Amino acid sequence: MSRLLELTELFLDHSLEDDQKLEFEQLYQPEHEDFETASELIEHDALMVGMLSEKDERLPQQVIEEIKNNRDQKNTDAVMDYIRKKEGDSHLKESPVSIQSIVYKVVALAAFLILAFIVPGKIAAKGQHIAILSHLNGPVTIMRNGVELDGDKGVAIFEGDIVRSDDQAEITLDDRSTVRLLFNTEVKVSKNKQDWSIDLNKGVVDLVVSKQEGRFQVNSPAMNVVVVGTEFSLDYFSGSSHLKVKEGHVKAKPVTAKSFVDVYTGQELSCNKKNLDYDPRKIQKWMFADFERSLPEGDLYGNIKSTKTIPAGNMSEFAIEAVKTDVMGSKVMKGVYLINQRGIFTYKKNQYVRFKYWMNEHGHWLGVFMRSELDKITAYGSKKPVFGKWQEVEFSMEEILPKVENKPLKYGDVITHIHLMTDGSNDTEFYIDDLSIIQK
Amino acid sequence: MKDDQIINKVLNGDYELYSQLVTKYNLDVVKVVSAMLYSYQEIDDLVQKTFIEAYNKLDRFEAGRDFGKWTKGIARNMVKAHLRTNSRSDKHIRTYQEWSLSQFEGDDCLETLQKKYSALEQCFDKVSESNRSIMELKYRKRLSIQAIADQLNRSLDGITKALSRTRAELRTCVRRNLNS
Repeated sequence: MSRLLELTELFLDHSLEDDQKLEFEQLYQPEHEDFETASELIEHDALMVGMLSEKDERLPQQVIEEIKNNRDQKNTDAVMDYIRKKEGDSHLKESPVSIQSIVYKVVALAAFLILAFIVPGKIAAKGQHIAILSHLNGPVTIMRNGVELDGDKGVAIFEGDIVRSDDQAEITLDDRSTVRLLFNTEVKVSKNKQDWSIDLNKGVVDLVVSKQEGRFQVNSPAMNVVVVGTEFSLDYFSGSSHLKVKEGHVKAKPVTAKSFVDVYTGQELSCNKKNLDYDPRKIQKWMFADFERSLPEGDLYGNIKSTKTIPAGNMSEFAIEAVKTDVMGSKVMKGVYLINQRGIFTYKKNQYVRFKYWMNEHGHWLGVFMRSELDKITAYGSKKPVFGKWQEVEFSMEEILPKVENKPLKYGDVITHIHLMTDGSNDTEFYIDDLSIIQK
Repeated sequence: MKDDQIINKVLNGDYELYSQLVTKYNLDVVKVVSAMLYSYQEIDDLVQKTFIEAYNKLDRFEAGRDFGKWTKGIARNMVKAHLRTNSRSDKHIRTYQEWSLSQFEGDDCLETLQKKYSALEQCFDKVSESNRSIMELKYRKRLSIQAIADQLNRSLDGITKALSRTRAELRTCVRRNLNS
């Protein structure tokens, strides 16, 4: 066997040493008499991969999501630009009248009319906007008259629009109330004169409602909530709803019940459609989203502490104290754990994990562990920490790597666990705040 | 539902039905992409891009044709385009990919590839149970040799030799099948 074929075998076994790799690169050239044979050996290995590859069960959904994102982009952009200029941003920014803006509006109007003619009555919204999409992180779609449009920051929301968020989105109503949609959430926004109605079809919403002249009602398939100027969250999963009032006062009832009960600050209420025993109680377990307002809720392992009682320097009202310890090999680690089996966020390109931390000198490193439960992938990244002061840190998701033998995280993987960790002992103090996932 | 019916519905706006075609032809496309690329990391990405490209060109698909074959043709062209514009791979992988490109030039290249896969499948059926497990851990689960040794509680050297021997057996068998 020639030296090239010997080295090719070693290459296929992944056992080339550095100097052998160099030698292999030099020998594996078309001029070599065994080049064709060596290539066939490699091809045979490539065919083995092709033959034994497993069907990727998530691929069909990933392809459909990608198609959905790209679909009708051109048409939607033109219509959205038109709507934004004509209706949407009037209270956000006033553009000076100029020849260019008049020409733009004429062109946009023409584009709109042409598109409206091509797709009669489908995309065109009737009347004034009632809200705008004020913030989004990840894809947002707006279903309008049966047509699905891609959401973008600043886009106008009209009566009856259904807004869907993959990760997070915020709708600012025209009375300045805000409706924050968390992971995989869908709401319908309606307004009749002074009365608002927010229908939560699935997921979690977090609301800050301005003082109302009319009625402000939030409905899930399981619960009706009438708002009296307040801050609260409502979720709906698998037939049940859960309400938590952070500030103020709401009235709520299961959809099938006749009378409302009052739910005040610090109280919660759970029910499904049939549950008529619906006494409010003191909130038993604060979830991550309740105080961070930047991530969907999950099970949080960490103590929520007022920043008045922990190391100074952070502007937030609350932070999280790491209390949970874990053993990895010979090391004891201490960290904050956030777990949501439905998924905390979906891994995408150019994503970053950002948070603030404080640790004393008993911790020696700062680690971020991520897990995708569905794919059984655990990946981590670490940095050298700064001690004794609040510090903001950012990890690119590309830095979060798997253990050697595991497959890496892929775009589209749903992250179910986030662990923020350091070395653990009784003397280690470690606090976390403002954890968020950033798309750049 | 037949492919033509699905395609017709997709073209009429029911685009979510396209997932059925992706499910059905997923592995066919993987086979083409794997053979040409020999790079685990890039296979999944190129397979997804192939199906999106096929969706974008769906209005050009002629009814009655074989959708699987048509998509494999798109996969071949996607990989070619990818290799022309992307040189991130190691030098020896790149050399293999250039050789592989030359193998995918003729009209009958996909048929030739299919014959190679069929021969390989027949030969793989004849491999002993224990060696099949090793091959599956290596190529299906994509585990390192060390991880396979750990999992099967065998020595690293033993696994390396078993893999090498099985590969040689398979190659001989495939060559014999193709020549006959």
